[in-house]
Amino acid sequence: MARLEVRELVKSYGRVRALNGVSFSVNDGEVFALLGPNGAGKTTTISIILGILEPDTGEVYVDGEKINSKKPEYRAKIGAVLEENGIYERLKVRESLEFWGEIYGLSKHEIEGRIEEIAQYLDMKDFLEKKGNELSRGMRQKGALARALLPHPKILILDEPTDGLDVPSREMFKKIILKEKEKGRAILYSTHVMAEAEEVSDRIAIIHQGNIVTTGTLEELRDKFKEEKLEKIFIKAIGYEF
Amino acid sequence: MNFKRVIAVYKKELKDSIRNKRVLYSTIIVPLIVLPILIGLPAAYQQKQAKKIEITPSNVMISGFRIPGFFEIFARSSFINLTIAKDPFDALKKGRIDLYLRVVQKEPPTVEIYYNPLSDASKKALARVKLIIDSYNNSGQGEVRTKKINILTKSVISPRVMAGVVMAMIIGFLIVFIPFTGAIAPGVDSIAGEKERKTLNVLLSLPISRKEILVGKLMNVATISLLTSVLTITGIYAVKSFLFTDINIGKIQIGTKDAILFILLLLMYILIASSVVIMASAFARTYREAQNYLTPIMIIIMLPLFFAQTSASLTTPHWSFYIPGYNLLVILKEALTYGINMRDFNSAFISNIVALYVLVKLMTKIFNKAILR
Repeated sequence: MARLEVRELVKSYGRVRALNGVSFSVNDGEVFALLGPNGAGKTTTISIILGILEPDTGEVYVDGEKINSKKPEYRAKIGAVLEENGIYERLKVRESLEFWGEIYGLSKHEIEGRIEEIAQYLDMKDFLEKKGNELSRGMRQKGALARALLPHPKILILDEPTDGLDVPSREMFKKIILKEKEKGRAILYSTHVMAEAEEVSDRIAIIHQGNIVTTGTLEELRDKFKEEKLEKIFIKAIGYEF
Repeated sequence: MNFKRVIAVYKKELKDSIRNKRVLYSTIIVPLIVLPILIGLPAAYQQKQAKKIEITPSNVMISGFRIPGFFEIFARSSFINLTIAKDPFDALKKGRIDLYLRVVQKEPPTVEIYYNPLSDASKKALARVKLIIDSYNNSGQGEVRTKKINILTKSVISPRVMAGVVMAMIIGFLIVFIPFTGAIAPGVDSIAGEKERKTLNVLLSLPISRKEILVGKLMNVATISLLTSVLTITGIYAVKSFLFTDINIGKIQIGTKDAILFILLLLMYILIASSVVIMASAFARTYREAQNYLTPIMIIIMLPLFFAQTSASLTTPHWSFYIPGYNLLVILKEALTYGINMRDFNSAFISNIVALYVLVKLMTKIFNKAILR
C-alpha cells in the first residue's frame, strides 16, 4: 500500500482547469518528483493533499485512508515545506517552532527535545533566538524545513524548497532530502529544476497543463524518450517546440 | 523642465488615482455621502424634534391652592394642555407630562414648578409657563394683582441621576466606540495580514481545523479589544477631574448587580465587534483592503451613537435595546441612573446572543470561502 496516493484529481478556477485527472502514488523510502513548468498544477496538487484546497473531483489517500479536509488529524503524518516559508516575522524561530509543535500535538518536553535535535541537524542553532524578520532567505527555508521535520512525519512534501537559495543552501537541502529518504520517509518533491530532480528522485512525474504526461524512473524515462538528459526528456514530454 | 513630460506624469497619476478605489472613496463617497449622513441625519432629527416641540402644546398638571383667575389663564392658552397624573413626579420623569405646577402658598402667592431638565419638551413647557406667569404678574388684573406670584423652579431629576445621564452620554460613546477600534489592528492583521505575509497557507497545512484557527484568532482580537477598553476607562478615570467639571462625579453610583450585568453586555459587545472585524479581514486579500471594508461598517455602527448624542432623555424606546452596541449605551444609562430594568437587559442580552451567533456563522463561512478562492 502506498503511503500517499492521489487519484484522478480535478480542479478548476473559474473557467481555467488547473488539474485534469492527476493520479500518482508515493511509497516509503522513495523520493517522487513532480516536475513541471510554472502554472502546471504542482502547487494546486499539493494544496489539495494538504487540505488547503478542495478538489472538484478525485481523492487523496494517506495510509490507505481517504482524507477529509474538515478532519485535519491526518496532516500530523505530513511535514510540508511550501513555496511560502510561513515564518512569523515577529516571533523568534524557537517560538515559531514551539507553536507548530503544539499544533502537531507534541508535549512541551518533546518539543524542546525536537527543537534541539533539529537545530543540530540543520545547523540552525545560531538563529534560533532571532525573529523571523531578521532572517535571510536560507535561514527562513531552514526554519520551514525544521517545521516539516518536527513531528517525525511519515510523508514529507516539499514544494520548490530550494527556490531562491544560494548554492551551499541548495546542496544542504539535497543532502537532507536523501537522508530523510534513508530514514524511510515518503517524499513528494515538487520542482522545476531538472538537475535537482535528476539527483534526488527515484521516480519522476512530468506534469503539464494539469495533466501527468509521463511517469517513471529516470532510466524508464530515458528509454521511453530516447534522451539522456532529463531536460530534453521534459521538453519532449510536454511537446514543447521552439 | 520639459512641460510635456510633466503633463504626461500628471495624466498618468490622475488616471491611476481615479482608478484607485481608496482615492475614490475619500474624494467622492466620504464628502458626498458619508459626511452628510453623519452630520446631517442627527442634526435633521434634532431639528425635527425641536419643531415638533415648538408646535405641540405642553402637557401641564396644576394642583394646590386655588388662586382666582390664575388657573384660567393656563386653560385659555393654546400652548398649554392641562392634564392630570396619579403620580406627577413619576409621570414627569417618564415624559407622560411635561411640567408639574403646584400652588404651595396663597399668601404671599407661591408656586413650585417641577420640570425635567433631561427633556426638551419639559424645558419648553417651563419657558411657556414662566412667560404666562410673568404676563399675569404684569397684567394688573385679578384679585392678587398687587402681589406678584413667587416662582420656585425645581428639577424632578436628582443630582445623582443627572450626573449619571451626562456621564452615560460621554462615557457611553467611548464604551461603544473603543472596543471596535481596539479590535481593528489585531483583527485585520489576524487574517488579511497573514494572507499578505503568506503565513496563513502554512498554518492551514498543519493538523488544525479552520474553526480552531478562527476561534483562537477571535479570542486574541477580543482580548486586545477588552484591554483597549479597560485602559481607555482607566485613562479617563485618571483625568476625570479635568474632564467632568460640570458633573458631580461623587454622586454617581452603580450597584454590584448592575455592574455585573453591564460587564456581561460589554463582553458580548467586544465579541461582536471582534467578529465583525475578523469577518472583514477574512473577506479581504490584503491588510489595506480589510481596512477599506471596515470604514463603512464602522460608520453604520457609529450612526446610532450620533443619534444618541442628540438626546439626553431618560426614556428609551424598548426597540432600541435590540440594537447591539446601542443597547450597551442605553443599559449604561439605566445603570447610572435608576438601575437596570431586567426586561430591557433581557432584550439586549437575547439580541446580542442572536447577533453573535449569526456573526460567528457568517465569519466561519467567509473564512472558509475566502481561503479556498
